[in-house]
Amino acid sequence: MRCKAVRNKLDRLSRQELAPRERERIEAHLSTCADCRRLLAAQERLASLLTNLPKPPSVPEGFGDRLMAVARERRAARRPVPGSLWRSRWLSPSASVGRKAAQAVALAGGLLIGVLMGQQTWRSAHSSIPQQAVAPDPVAVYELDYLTDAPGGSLAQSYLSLTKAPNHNGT
Amino acid sequence: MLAVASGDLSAFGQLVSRHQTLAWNAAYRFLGNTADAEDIAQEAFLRILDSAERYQPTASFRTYLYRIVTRLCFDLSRRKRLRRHHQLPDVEANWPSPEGVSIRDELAAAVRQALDSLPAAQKMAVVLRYYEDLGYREIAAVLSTTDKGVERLLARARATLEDRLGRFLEE
Repeated sequence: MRCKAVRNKLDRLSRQELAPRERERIEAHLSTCADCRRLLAAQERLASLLTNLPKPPSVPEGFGDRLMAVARERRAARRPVPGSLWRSRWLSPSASVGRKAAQAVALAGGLLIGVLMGQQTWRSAHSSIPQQAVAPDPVAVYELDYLTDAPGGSLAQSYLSLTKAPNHNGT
Repeated sequence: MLAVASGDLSAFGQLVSRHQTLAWNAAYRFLGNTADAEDIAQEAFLRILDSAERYQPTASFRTYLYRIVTRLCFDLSRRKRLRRHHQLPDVEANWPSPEGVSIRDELAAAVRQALDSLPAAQKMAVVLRYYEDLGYREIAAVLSTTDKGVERLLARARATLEDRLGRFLEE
């Protein structure tokens, strides 16, 4: 076994975390390698230095009570208000399959109604064009036939041309 | 945890009283002061309460708690490092002067300083290995790495600590 591979395992050897076979191989290496033995001794001194520090202070008095007070406040803040229950149920993954199916049918029905209404609107919009095209002739409606014989450029002809113009009614 | 997930606050209270020392010790060893350690330990339990419904028992509760404490400690130390970087305080002012302190206090201060010089992951690996007495596999689970990853983290940490604490480690 090479020194580098052994050195990475020395701490686990001290902690007795190695499988028996690996431990035997490392111990065999240590019996012949003074450098790795020195490193093991140094690691053990470091471990002793680190672990001989004073213990941390105890958990502060009242820690649990303070924590529980905050936890109760948070829980109260998260409690659903009346009227919002339907929302959580709607979004809940635990909602029954039947309820979800009913929701899907309602959604599909709504979509169908929307499409039908859209078609109706489209049809009425397109059918309004021919109605405009067959709009009554103002000359006939207002009986202005007698002006048609007037000479060109006269005031009567100008009035007739204005009356027949497409936006004669101001639209 | 099942009872906590169903909203049983008294079960949460039992969880706190059973594991508060663990959370507190790990946070204190990492952060080095009681105020921060209390904040982190409290926040760790509140996170557990808030996410109890999503809890998946893939590891022991102890490992789960250590993992949350670790993440919170990393976040806090990152924020503090940024703050220190911007404020440029006198870091040495936190430590007692050599005059008038016992060898034990001096040693404790030197170890604390050496630990604080480590990158966060190495420092937490040392805390979990030497103070919380966790095995390599559990440390790996807490730090989201492998056994070999923990070996490398601890090897680098030991090299730094031996360098900084050399005068206390002489034979």
